[in-house]
Amino acid sequence: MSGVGEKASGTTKTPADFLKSIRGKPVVVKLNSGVDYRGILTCLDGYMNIAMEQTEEYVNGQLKNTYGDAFVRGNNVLYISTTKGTLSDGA
Amino acid sequence: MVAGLRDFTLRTEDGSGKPVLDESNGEELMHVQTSVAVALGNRPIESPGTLYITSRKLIWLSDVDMAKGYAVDFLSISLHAVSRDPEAYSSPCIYTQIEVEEDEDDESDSESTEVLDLSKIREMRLVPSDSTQLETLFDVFCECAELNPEPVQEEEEESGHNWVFSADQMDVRGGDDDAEWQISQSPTSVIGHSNGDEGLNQPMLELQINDQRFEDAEEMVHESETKDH
Repeated sequence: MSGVGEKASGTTKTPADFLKSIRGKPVVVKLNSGVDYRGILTCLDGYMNIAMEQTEEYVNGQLKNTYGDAFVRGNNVLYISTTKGTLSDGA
Repeated sequence: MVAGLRDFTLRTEDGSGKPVLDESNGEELMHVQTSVAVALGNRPIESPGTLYITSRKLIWLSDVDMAKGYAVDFLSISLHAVSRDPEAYSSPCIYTQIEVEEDEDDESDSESTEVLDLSKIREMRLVPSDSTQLETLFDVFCECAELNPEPVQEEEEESGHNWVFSADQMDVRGGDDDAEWQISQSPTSVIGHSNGDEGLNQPMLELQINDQRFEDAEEMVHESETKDH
Protein backbone atom coordinates (compact mmCIF):
# COMPACT_ATOMS: atom_id res chain seq x y z
CA MET A 1 0.00 0.00 0.00
CA SER A 2 2.90 2.33 0.68
CA GLY A 3 4.34 2.03 -2.81
CA VAL A 4 1.13 2.38 -4.77
CA GLY A 5 0.94 6.16 -4.52
CA GLU A 6 4.30 6.78 -6.13
CA LYS A 7 4.24 7.13 -9.89
CA ALA A 8 6.49 5.00 -12.05
CA SER A 9 8.65 7.52 -13.87
CA GLY A 10 11.17 5.09 -15.30
CA THR A 11 14.78 5.25 -14.25
CA THR A 12 15.10 9.04 -14.00
CA LYS A 13 13.59 11.05 -11.18
CA THR A 14 14.06 14.77 -10.69
CA PRO A 15 14.59 16.27 -7.24
CA ALA A 16 11.16 17.87 -7.54
CA ASP A 17 9.60 14.46 -8.09
CA PHE A 18 11.37 13.12 -5.02
CA LEU A 19 10.23 16.01 -2.86
CA LYS A 20 6.64 15.61 -4.00
CA SER A 21 6.70 11.88 -3.39
CA ILE A 22 7.85 12.10 0.23
CA ARG A 23 5.03 14.35 1.43
CA GLY A 24 3.02 12.55 4.07
CA LYS A 25 5.78 9.99 4.59
CA PRO A 26 8.26 9.43 7.40
CA VAL A 27 11.41 11.45 6.81
CA VAL A 28 14.70 12.21 8.51
CA VAL A 29 15.86 15.81 8.49
CA LYS A 30 19.45 16.53 9.43
CA LEU A 31 20.43 20.03 10.43
CA ASN A 32 23.83 21.66 10.05
CA SER A 33 24.24 21.22 13.79
CA GLY A 34 24.05 17.45 13.41
CA VAL A 35 20.70 17.09 15.16
CA ASP A 36 18.21 14.72 13.51
CA TYR A 37 14.47 15.27 13.34
CA ARG A 38 12.26 12.35 12.41
CA GLY A 39 8.57 12.59 11.67
CA ILE A 40 5.84 12.77 9.06
CA LEU A 41 6.52 15.41 6.43
CA THR A 42 3.54 17.72 6.01
CA CYS A 43 4.95 20.63 4.03
CA LEU A 44 8.11 21.52 2.15
CA ASP A 45 8.77 24.71 0.21
CA GLY A 46 11.40 26.08 -2.14
CA TYR A 47 13.50 27.45 0.71
CA MET A 48 13.72 23.96 2.24
CA ASN A 49 11.49 25.07 5.11
CA ILE A 50 10.09 21.86 6.57
CA ALA A 51 6.93 21.21 8.56
CA MET A 52 6.55 17.85 10.27
CA GLU A 53 4.14 15.97 12.50
CA GLN A 54 4.87 13.44 15.25
CA THR A 55 8.39 14.82 15.35
CA GLU A 56 11.18 13.21 17.33
CA GLU A 57 14.40 15.06 18.08
CA TYR A 58 17.58 12.98 18.17
CA VAL A 59 20.86 14.39 19.46
CA ASN A 60 23.83 12.07 18.93
CA GLY A 61 21.38 9.27 18.29
CA GLN A 62 19.57 9.82 21.58
CA LEU A 63 15.89 10.74 21.60
CA LYS A 64 15.69 14.12 23.33
CA ASN A 65 12.26 15.59 22.67
CA THR A 66 9.02 14.94 20.89
CA TYR A 67 6.76 17.53 19.29
CA GLY A 68 3.27 17.29 17.86
CA ASP A 69 4.13 19.74 15.09
CA ALA A 70 7.51 21.16 14.19
CA PHE A 71 8.71 23.75 11.70
CA VAL A 72 12.37 23.80 10.70
CA ARG A 73 13.81 26.84 8.98
CA GLY A 74 15.32 25.91 5.62
CA ASN A 75 18.67 27.62 6.04
CA ASN A 76 19.62 25.10 8.73
CA VAL A 77 18.68 21.98 6.78
CA LEU A 78 21.62 19.84 5.71
CA TYR A 79 19.57 17.15 4.02
CA ILE A 80 16.22 15.38 4.07
CA SER A 81 15.79 11.68 3.39
CA THR A 82 13.17 9.00 3.65
CA THR A 83 13.20 6.15 6.09
CA LYS A 84 12.72 2.58 4.94
CA GLY A 85 9.95 1.07 7.01
CA THR A 86 11.39 1.12 10.49
CA LEU A 87 13.11 4.13 11.99
CA SER A 88 16.73 3.04 12.01
CA ASP A 89 20.01 4.84 11.60
CA GLY A 90 21.62 4.95 8.20
CA ALA A 91 20.10 3.93 4.89
CA MET B 1 20.07 45.00 13.97
CA VAL B 2 21.26 42.51 16.57
CA ALA B 3 20.51 38.86 15.87
CA GLY B 4 18.86 36.66 18.44
CA LEU B 5 16.80 37.44 21.50
CA ARG B 6 16.89 40.98 22.86
CA ASP B 7 15.14 43.36 25.21
CA PHE B 8 12.09 45.10 23.84
CA THR B 9 10.33 47.71 25.95
CA LEU B 10 9.09 50.21 23.37
CA ARG B 11 5.36 50.64 23.90
CA THR B 12 2.87 53.03 22.41
CA GLU B 13 2.14 56.16 24.40
CA ASP B 14 -1.63 55.72 24.35
CA GLY B 15 -1.45 53.56 27.45
CA SER B 16 -2.68 50.41 25.73
CA GLY B 17 0.65 48.71 26.38
CA LYS B 18 1.01 47.63 22.77
CA PRO B 19 4.44 47.47 21.16
CA VAL B 20 5.64 50.11 18.73
CA LEU B 21 6.08 48.55 15.30
CA ASP B 22 8.37 49.59 12.47
CA GLU B 23 5.44 50.46 10.25
CA SER B 24 7.51 52.65 7.95
CA ASN B 25 9.32 49.49 6.87
CA GLY B 26 6.14 47.52 6.36
CA GLU B 27 5.91 45.71 9.68
CA GLU B 28 2.38 44.59 10.51
CA LEU B 29 0.75 43.03 13.55
CA MET B 30 -0.34 39.52 12.62
CA HIS B 31 -1.63 38.03 15.89
CA VAL B 32 -2.08 38.87 19.56
CA GLN B 33 -2.26 36.25 22.28
CA THR B 34 -3.00 37.29 25.85
CA SER B 35 -2.09 35.39 29.00
CA VAL B 36 1.15 33.94 27.71
CA ALA B 37 4.04 33.08 29.97
CA VAL B 38 7.60 32.92 28.69
CA ALA B 39 10.54 30.80 29.77
CA LEU B 40 13.98 31.72 28.49
CA GLY B 41 16.41 28.83 28.32
CA ASN B 42 16.44 27.03 31.66
CA ARG B 43 15.30 30.08 33.60
CA PRO B 44 12.12 30.24 35.64
CA ILE B 45 8.93 31.05 33.82
CA GLU B 46 7.82 34.67 33.64
CA SER B 47 4.15 35.54 33.69
CA PRO B 48 1.76 36.95 32.94
CA GLY B 49 2.40 38.61 29.59
CA THR B 50 1.02 39.22 26.13
CA LEU B 51 2.46 37.78 22.94
CA TYR B 52 2.48 40.00 19.86
CA ILE B 53 3.37 38.36 16.54
CA THR B 54 4.30 40.74 13.75
CA SER B 55 5.34 40.13 10.17
CA ARG B 56 8.97 40.55 11.24
CA LYS B 57 9.39 39.40 14.82
CA LEU B 58 8.01 37.91 17.98
CA ILE B 59 7.38 40.28 20.89
CA TRP B 60 6.50 39.30 24.43
CA LEU B 61 5.58 42.09 26.83
CA SER B 62 5.04 41.68 30.54
CA ASP B 63 1.62 42.61 31.86
CA VAL B 64 2.93 43.58 35.30
CA ASP B 65 6.26 45.24 34.50
CA MET B 66 5.95 47.91 31.82
CA ALA B 67 9.73 47.98 31.51
CA LYS B 68 10.07 44.29 30.69
CA GLY B 69 9.74 42.73 27.26
CA TYR B 70 11.58 40.53 24.77
CA ALA B 71 11.74 40.35 21.00
CA VAL B 72 13.30 38.02 18.46
CA ASP B 73 13.21 38.19 14.67
CA PHE B 74 11.75 35.29 12.74
CA LEU B 75 15.01 35.23 10.84
CA SER B 76 16.65 34.05 14.05
CA ILE B 77 14.08 31.37 14.93
CA SER B 78 15.54 28.22 13.41
CA LEU B 79 12.82 25.91 14.75
CA HIS B 80 9.44 26.16 16.42
CA ALA B 81 7.25 23.31 17.56
CA VAL B 82 4.24 22.34 19.61
CA SER B 83 5.50 20.63 22.74
CA ARG B 84 3.02 18.64 24.83
CA ASP B 85 5.39 16.14 26.40
CA PRO B 86 5.32 16.63 30.20
CA GLU B 87 8.77 15.07 30.43
CA ALA B 88 10.21 17.78 28.21
CA TYR B 89 8.36 20.60 29.94
CA SER B 90 5.74 20.76 32.64
CA SER B 91 3.19 22.64 30.54
CA PRO B 92 2.18 22.42 26.89
CA CYS B 93 3.94 25.21 25.06
CA ILE B 94 5.39 26.53 21.84
CA TYR B 95 9.05 25.58 21.85
CA THR B 96 11.46 27.70 19.83
CA GLN B 97 15.14 27.43 19.00
CA ILE B 98 16.97 30.70 18.48
CA GLU B 99 20.16 31.15 16.49
CA VAL B 100 22.97 32.82 18.37
CA GLU B 101 26.22 34.24 17.10
CA GLU B 102 29.13 32.04 18.08
CA ASP B 103 31.26 33.97 20.55
CA GLU B 104 34.06 31.91 22.05
CA ASP B 105 35.18 34.66 24.40
CA ASP B 106 32.30 34.18 26.84
CA GLU B 107 32.67 30.55 27.75
CA SER B 108 32.39 31.00 31.51
CA ASP B 109 28.99 29.85 32.69
CA SER B 110 29.32 31.47 36.09
CA GLU B 111 29.04 34.94 34.58
CA SER B 112 25.96 34.09 32.57
CA THR B 113 24.11 32.86 35.61
CA GLU B 114 24.48 36.19 37.34
CA VAL B 115 23.93 38.60 34.47
CA LEU B 116 21.19 37.79 31.98
CA ASP B 117 22.70 37.82 28.50
CA LEU B 118 19.76 37.59 26.13
CA SER B 119 21.92 37.16 23.06
CA LYS B 120 23.09 33.80 24.43
CA ILE B 121 19.60 32.32 24.90
CA ARG B 122 19.13 29.40 22.52
CA GLU B 123 15.71 28.18 23.61
CA MET B 124 12.48 29.90 24.47
CA ARG B 125 9.16 28.45 25.51
CA LEU B 126 5.85 30.24 25.19
CA VAL B 127 3.18 28.88 27.51
CA PRO B 128 -0.34 30.15 26.79
CA SER B 129 -2.78 29.70 29.63
CA ASP B 130 -5.24 28.47 27.00
CA SER B 131 -3.44 25.43 25.61
CA THR B 132 -6.03 25.04 22.85
CA GLN B 133 -4.33 27.99 21.16
CA LEU B 134 -1.11 26.07 20.54
CA GLU B 135 -2.10 24.96 17.05
CA THR B 136 -3.16 28.48 16.11
CA LEU B 137 0.12 29.90 17.35
CA PHE B 138 2.06 27.22 15.47
CA ASP B 139 0.27 28.09 12.22
CA VAL B 140 0.85 31.82 12.68
CA PHE B 141 4.53 31.12 13.33
CA CYS B 142 4.69 29.14 10.08
CA GLU B 143 3.11 32.01 8.13
CA CYS B 144 5.55 34.53 9.55
CA ALA B 145 8.54 32.28 8.90
CA GLU B 146 7.44 32.13 5.27
CA LEU B 147 7.27 35.92 5.21
CA ASN B 148 10.94 36.13 6.21
CA PRO B 149 13.02 34.13 3.75
CA GLU B 150 16.77 34.23 4.08
CA PRO B 151 18.13 37.36 2.38
CA VAL B 152 20.05 36.62 -0.80
CA GLN B 153 23.68 37.59 -0.29
CA GLU B 154 25.13 36.71 -3.68
CA GLU B 155 24.10 38.48 -6.85
CA GLU B 156 23.59 36.27 -9.85
CA GLU B 157 26.16 36.79 -12.56
CA GLU B 158 24.76 37.93 -15.86
CA SER B 159 26.26 35.97 -18.71
CA GLY B 160 24.82 37.76 -21.68
CA HIS B 161 26.38 37.29 -25.09
CA ASN B 162 27.43 40.26 -27.14
CA TRP B 163 26.41 39.73 -30.71
CA VAL B 164 29.14 40.86 -33.10
CA PHE B 165 28.41 41.53 -36.76
CA SER B 166 31.42 41.16 -39.02
CA ALA B 167 31.50 43.70 -41.84
CA ASP B 168 34.94 42.77 -43.15
CA GLN B 169 33.51 40.57 -45.87
CA MET B 170 31.69 43.48 -47.45
CA ASP B 171 34.98 45.30 -48.07
CA VAL B 172 36.65 42.40 -49.88
CA ARG B 173 37.09 42.97 -53.61
CA GLY B 174 38.63 40.30 -55.81
CA GLY B 175 38.11 38.36 -58.99
CA ASP B 176 34.93 37.17 -60.55
CA ASP B 177 34.32 34.51 -57.91
CA ASP B 178 34.55 36.99 -55.07
CA ALA B 179 32.30 39.42 -56.89
CA GLU B 180 29.72 36.72 -57.40
CA TRP B 181 29.92 35.76 -53.76
CA GLN B 182 29.57 39.37 -52.71
CA ILE B 183 26.43 39.68 -54.80
CA SER B 184 24.85 36.94 -52.73
CA GLN B 185 25.66 38.94 -49.61
CA SER B 186 23.81 42.02 -50.81
CA PRO B 187 20.27 40.81 -50.01
CA THR B 188 21.36 39.96 -46.47
CA SER B 189 22.75 43.41 -45.80
CA VAL B 190 19.73 45.06 -47.36
CA ILE B 191 17.28 43.04 -45.31
CA GLY B 192 19.12 43.37 -42.02
CA HIS B 193 20.17 46.99 -42.34
CA SER B 194 22.99 46.10 -39.98
CA ASN B 195 25.45 48.16 -42.01
CA GLY B 196 25.30 51.85 -42.75
CA ASP B 197 24.94 53.58 -46.07
CA GLU B 198 28.58 52.87 -46.86
CA GLY B 199 27.84 49.18 -46.76
CA LEU B 200 25.13 49.55 -49.36
CA ASN B 201 27.17 51.67 -51.76
CA GLN B 202 29.93 49.16 -52.27
CA PRO B 203 27.72 46.30 -53.53
CA MET B 204 26.11 48.79 -55.91
CA LEU B 205 29.47 49.70 -57.37
CA GLU B 206 30.31 46.06 -57.85
CA LEU B 207 27.04 45.41 -59.55
CA GLN B 208 27.49 48.30 -61.96
CA ILE B 209 30.98 47.18 -62.94
CA ASN B 210 29.74 43.73 -63.89
CA ASP B 211 26.53 44.95 -65.46
CA GLN B 212 27.16 43.64 -68.97
CA ARG B 213 28.49 40.24 -67.89
CA PHE B 214 25.58 39.08 -65.72
CA GLU B 215 22.06 39.68 -66.87
CA ASP B 216 20.64 38.76 -63.48
CA ALA B 217 22.46 41.72 -61.99
CA GLU B 218 19.89 44.11 -63.42
CA GLU B 219 17.14 42.40 -61.45
CA MET B 220 19.21 42.72 -58.30
CA VAL B 221 19.60 46.43 -58.92
CA HIS B 222 15.87 46.87 -59.32
CA GLU B 223 15.13 44.91 -56.15
CA SER B 224 17.60 47.02 -54.21
CA GLU B 225 16.11 50.25 -55.50
CA THR B 226 12.62 49.07 -54.65
CA LYS B 227 13.53 48.30 -51.06
CA ASP B 228 15.49 51.51 -50.62
CA HIS B 229 12.59 53.78 -51.62
